[in-house]
Amino acid sequence: MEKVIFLVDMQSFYASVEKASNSALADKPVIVSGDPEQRSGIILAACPIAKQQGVKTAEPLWEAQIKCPDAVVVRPRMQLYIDVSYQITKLLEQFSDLVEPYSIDEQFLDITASQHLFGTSVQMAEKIQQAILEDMGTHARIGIGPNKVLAKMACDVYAKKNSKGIFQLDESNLESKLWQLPISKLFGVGSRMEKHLIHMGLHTIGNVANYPLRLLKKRWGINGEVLWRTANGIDYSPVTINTHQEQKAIGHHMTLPQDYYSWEDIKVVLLELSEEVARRARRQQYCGKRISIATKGVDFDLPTGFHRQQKIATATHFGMDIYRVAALLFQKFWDGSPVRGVGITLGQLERAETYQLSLFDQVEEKETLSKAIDRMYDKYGPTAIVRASSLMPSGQVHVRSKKIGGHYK
Amino acid sequence: MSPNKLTPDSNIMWESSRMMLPEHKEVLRKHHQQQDKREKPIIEEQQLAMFSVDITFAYTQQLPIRIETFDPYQEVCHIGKIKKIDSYQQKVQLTANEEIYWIAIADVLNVTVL
Repeated sequence: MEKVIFLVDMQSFYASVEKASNSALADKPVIVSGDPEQRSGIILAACPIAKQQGVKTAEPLWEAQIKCPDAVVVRPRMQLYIDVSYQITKLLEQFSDLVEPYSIDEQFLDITASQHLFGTSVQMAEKIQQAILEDMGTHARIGIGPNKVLAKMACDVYAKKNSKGIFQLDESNLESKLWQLPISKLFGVGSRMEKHLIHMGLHTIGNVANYPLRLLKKRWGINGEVLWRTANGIDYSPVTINTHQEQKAIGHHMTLPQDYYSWEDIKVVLLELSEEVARRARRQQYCGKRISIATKGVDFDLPTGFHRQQKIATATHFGMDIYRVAALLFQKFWDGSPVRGVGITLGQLERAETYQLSLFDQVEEKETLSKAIDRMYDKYGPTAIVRASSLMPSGQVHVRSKKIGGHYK
Repeated sequence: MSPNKLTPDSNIMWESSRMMLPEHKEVLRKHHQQQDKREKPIIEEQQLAMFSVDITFAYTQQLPIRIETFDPYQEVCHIGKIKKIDSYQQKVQLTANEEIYWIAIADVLNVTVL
C-alpha cells in the first residue's frame, strides 16, 4: 500500500515560541540571537515580520539591527524550545503513533494507518496545523509525500513558500513541480555538490533524475545513488520511533569563548569534555572503545582543524581514561595553530553490564569513585564538584553548565 | 554487508543528516520508556489469601517457589526457597543461588510452588 508521510515544520520556531509566551511581542519584529559578546552572537531565528525587513538567519546581530532597528532582541531559551518541541511530538501522537522528530522544529509523521479517521491527507494536515496553532500558538507548515524525502522537499520547497503552508508532492507532480527546480533545491545537495553537478552540466533536479545512474555511482558511490533516488522521489526509509533509542556514540563539542593558543589552556577543556562524555556514558550505562577528537581552526577558508581517533583495548566510561587518549592524540596531531573549537567523542559503545574487565586496571575503585561523584552531580548539579584545573581562566565548566547547544538554557 | 543509506528499511539517510541536541534526545528517550511503563494490576483479596497459603506451604515444606513481582518496565520473577517470613513488615526472604532477596507481599503478582 502507498504510504502517506507528513513532514511538520514549525515556522521560525524559536521566535514563534517567544512570541507565543509573551503576547506583548505579537505585532513586533522579534529576533532570537545568541550573546553578541560571545561567538554565538548570530541570528538563530527571526519572526516573519523581522524577515520581511530583510533579517536573515545566521547573520551577525549588528547586521540585523541595521536592517531592522526596532526589532525586539531576545536571548534563546533552549530548554523551553525542547519542551515545546516535545509537546508538539505528544500532540502529533494523537494523529498517529509513528512520530519521528528530525530536528527541534521538524517531525516526520506516518499517517498511512490513521488517515481515514481524519479525511483526505490535506484535510488531516489542516487539522494538525489548527491543533498546533491552538495549543502552542505557533504556525506549522506541512509537506506531504509517499515517502520521507518527498515530504521533506514538499515542505522545504513549496509548503514554506505558499500561504496555506501545505503542499503535496507525489508521482503525479514530480516532473512538473520538482524536476523544474535548480539542483540546489535537491535534498542533500550543499554548495560544494552544487558546483560539481553544474560542472557536469546538471542544472535542474530533472537533469539528475534522468542522468545515467551508473555514472553517478561511479563518481560518488553510495551517495551518488542516494542523489539519483532523491531526484526520482525514491526513499524506502521508514518513519521510526526507535531511532533515538540506540546510541552509537556519545560526544561533546564546544566552541571556545576566545581562541586558545597554548597546550596549558587546551588541556583544561579537554579534561572537562572527557569528564562530561564519561558522565553521560555512565548515566546511559554505556562503555566505549573508540575515542576521537576533533578540533576546529580559526580560519574558515584555511582549515587547520583535524579529526583523529584511536581504539583502546578495553571499553571505558571513565573521564581520565578518555582524557589520556585524547590528550595524546591532540599533542601528536596539533600543528600549534590557534584553536576555536574542540570536541571529544566516545564510540563503539557497548552496554556497561557486559563489559570486559581489564587485568591491569583498578576498575572497581574507579567505579565507586565515579558513582559517588555522579550521585553528587545528580543531587547538586553539574558544578557541585569540579577539577581544580577548571578553576583556571581557561576552564569552561561553569559556563557550560548553564547552556544547551551552546546557548543559555 | 553492513547496512548503508540504500538499504531498504534502514533510516541511515535521515539519521546521518539530522541535527538533534543531546538534551532533546534524552527527553524523547524518557518519553518512550514512559510509554512502555506498566501499571500495577490490582490483586484481589482472595488471590492474596491464595498467595499466603502457597508461601506458607512452601516455607514449612522448604519447597522451591516461583514468585513474580511487579516492575514498571520489565517482567521479574524469582525462583528459590523461602527462608524467613516477616509478617509484621509483610515481607518474605527468598534465597536463590546463595543470594538473598527480600520481597514485599504488596509487589507480588503471582506465586507457584514448584
